[in-house]
Amino acid sequence: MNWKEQLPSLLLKVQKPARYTGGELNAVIKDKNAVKTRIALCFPDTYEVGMSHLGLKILYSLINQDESCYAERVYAPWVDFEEIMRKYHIPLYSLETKSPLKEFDVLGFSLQYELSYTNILNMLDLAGIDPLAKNRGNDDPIIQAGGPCAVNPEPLADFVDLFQLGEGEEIMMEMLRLHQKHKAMGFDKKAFLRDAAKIPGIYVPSLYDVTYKKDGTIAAVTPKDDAPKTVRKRIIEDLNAVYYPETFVVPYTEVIHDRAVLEVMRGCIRGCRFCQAGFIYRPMRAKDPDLLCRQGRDLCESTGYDEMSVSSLSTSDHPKVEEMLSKIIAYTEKEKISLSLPSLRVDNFSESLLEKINRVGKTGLTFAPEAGTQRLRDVINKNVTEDEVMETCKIAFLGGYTSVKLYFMLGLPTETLEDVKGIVSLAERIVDLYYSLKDRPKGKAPSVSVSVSTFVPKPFTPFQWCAQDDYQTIVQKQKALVETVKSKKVSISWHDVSTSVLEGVVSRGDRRLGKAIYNAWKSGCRFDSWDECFHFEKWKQALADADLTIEEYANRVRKEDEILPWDHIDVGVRKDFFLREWEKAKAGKTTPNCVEQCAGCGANRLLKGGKCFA
Amino acid sequence: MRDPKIVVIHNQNYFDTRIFFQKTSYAKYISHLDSYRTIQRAFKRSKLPVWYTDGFNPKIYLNFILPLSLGYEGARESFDCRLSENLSEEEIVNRLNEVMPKGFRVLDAAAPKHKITSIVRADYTLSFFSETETPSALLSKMEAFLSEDQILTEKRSKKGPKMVDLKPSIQNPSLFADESAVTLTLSLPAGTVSNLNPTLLTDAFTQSTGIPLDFSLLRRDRLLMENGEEFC
Ligand code: SF4
Repeated sequence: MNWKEQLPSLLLKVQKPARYTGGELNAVIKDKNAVKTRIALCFPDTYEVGMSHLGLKILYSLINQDESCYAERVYAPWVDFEEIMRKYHIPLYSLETKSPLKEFDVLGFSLQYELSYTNILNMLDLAGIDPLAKNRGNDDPIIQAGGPCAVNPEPLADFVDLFQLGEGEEIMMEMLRLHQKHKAMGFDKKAFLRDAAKIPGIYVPSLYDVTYKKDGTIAAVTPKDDAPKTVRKRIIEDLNAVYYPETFVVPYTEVIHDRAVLEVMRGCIRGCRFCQAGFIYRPMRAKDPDLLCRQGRDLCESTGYDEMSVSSLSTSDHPKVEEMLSKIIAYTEKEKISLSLPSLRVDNFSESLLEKINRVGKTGLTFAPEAGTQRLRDVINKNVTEDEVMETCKIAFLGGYTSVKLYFMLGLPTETLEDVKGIVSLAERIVDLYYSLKDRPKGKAPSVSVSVSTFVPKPFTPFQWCAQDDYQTIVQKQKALVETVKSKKVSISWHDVSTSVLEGVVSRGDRRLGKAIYNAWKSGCRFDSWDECFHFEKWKQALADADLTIEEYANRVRKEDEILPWDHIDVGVRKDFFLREWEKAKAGKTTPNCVEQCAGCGANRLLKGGKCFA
Repeated sequence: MRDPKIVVIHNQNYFDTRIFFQKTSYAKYISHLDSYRTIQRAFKRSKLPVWYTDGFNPKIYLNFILPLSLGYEGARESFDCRLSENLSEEEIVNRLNEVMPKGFRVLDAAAPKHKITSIVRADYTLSFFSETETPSALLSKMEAFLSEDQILTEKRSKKGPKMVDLKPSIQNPSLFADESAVTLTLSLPAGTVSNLNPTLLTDAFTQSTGIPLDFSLLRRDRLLMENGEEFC
């Protein structure tokens, strides 16, 4: 029996077989022999996580619109199925046609978080493909990667043939067309990569030599074979004209975000200094409300979803937010579709819209002040004041809410014990506020849950030069936090610190880190973002075996004149802007948002007219 | 629909409808909750005038008759729903089949005749093989196992595990083997009072013989009532 015949009964041995069957509604079935280019869109995490990702849904539908191309989906098999795959020699296969990945022209990986990197190596290995790019030849698929983590591609330079930087709609099709051209001529990997590097936004790591100084910092990054000195990310200038799927693949089994999603805008005007997404997706561009309504209706009708959500970094900043929300709510109410909205800044909404939003948005009240004191919120440029939090809580409490969720970070630059304790006092003041209200919900106790994560400095933020707090410091701060809590109505939850330490290492890593990633995978690391699979000790060993330390990547202050591993990548926002912002942060000075006043970050250069706001 | 059963909700007439469907191939790998969601979405796409539950988050009302466990195919499964128009059986079946995902196929629709409590048994077909035994060897071992006086196994219940003898519950067992697998058909108690999964029996076989089984088919064929007729 071959593995395809064995599969039906083997699937009965795993926990969630529907992850591996394919055949879902709206999955695209084409004749694989009738297309010119086959690409497998690979998500280096479970089916449930990968199927929730909007970017891949867009690319999947977009590529499949083209008759000469066929995009299929692949997710990382969970450990139970991996065991079976290895035992029965089942190669990693695509869900649509059950083809081994080796058959594909291109494997496109989505890089959403650093802790998924070992899964990429593992998926290649399960497919019988050498994870090391230098060992792969003309007959192997081209390994491509894109997504937010691609802005620092260096830790993956050993494994990935080419990176797409920025928004993928145009660049993906340009790359596939180039691949077709090369395939028709007789495919030569090196020649293809050299040509691909000429497409704006494509970064081919093998065309750059990196040399290091004795202290491990970079001496020089030298392009070869006419590769550009810097590679600038791509954006879609007009979101109202860009392709959007009319339908989603509807999974048989529940996934994390199992609903119709409207992408209302890209980019963010806020400029919170810790937030990489806030900078790398600049400039902000919004979609027209009527277009959004049409797209939402198409999605719901073709999928049967009875749930819809909006996706953006800050929905309240949509230039036509009121019109947009009232139109979307009008549709969802009529069709009995439940709309989940993020917490919105509601300051200047009309009464009637507020009332409508309250009818739908019962998912709970959440705030992300991120820091406990106004001083630290100014340092990180997080534009939330305590008065605003209190005012919104008051309205919500009077409207019947009793629970509030607050998100904070520990380990932010310049943080002191006072800032840490400020987290608790803010939470306790919300409890006090509740009891001070005469018209509060009768007979109910308030609950304020505080969720703290660990700050990880990221490339392309003003904090890219910062030292991350080390493990011990964070643990101490967590302890101080818990000990400060007096009210029983306040609960604190936090994440494991060691995964944040590793994230800190990888996110600002350079090419040398590839060896450590390889070692870690070899020693059995995968699904590092899953607590039950995370082995910090193995990672420490993997780093040591590569002659690297956690400290040099995570806990070192980088010098301002140092060549950063990602300096040859251009996301639009200029390095000197980040430096200015870093200085302002240290001085506790805030920067107004893009609408109030342009801060001259440089992202406007990505637009043809050079203007972010007309 | 013939002999419609009408329920009045908020002064409106709704037609109680029982829908019979097949669950095979891809659909056998999903849990009951996933089936529920899948069929709900199919209704939404079909735009049939179906009744939504009251409440803050209205949901399409679907009541499944003895939901299947993950891994099982169903030759004739059913659920109840309510429609605000008296549509023809044909229209209901066609409109649903147009939008059903792979593995689900609607067979027919009718006004419910019997209560769910009238179900007492279910017929099953199981095909299995083993990496260590040929089908014919497996067949004789299973035959021997089924002809023992007692087939004791632990059954999980709300009050904790307890020992039960499966033997008296098994009706009409029949076995045959082909070159790839052994096929067992049998009838077991099913319903709201007592329900026995056939894999209890095969698990007991593995426990007593040490032979692990791989399944190429687990199927519930029909639900039966006391008088031996099929539930409808
Ligand atoms: S150029 Fe100005 S308006 Fe445009 S993104 Fe940068 S700061 Fe904002």
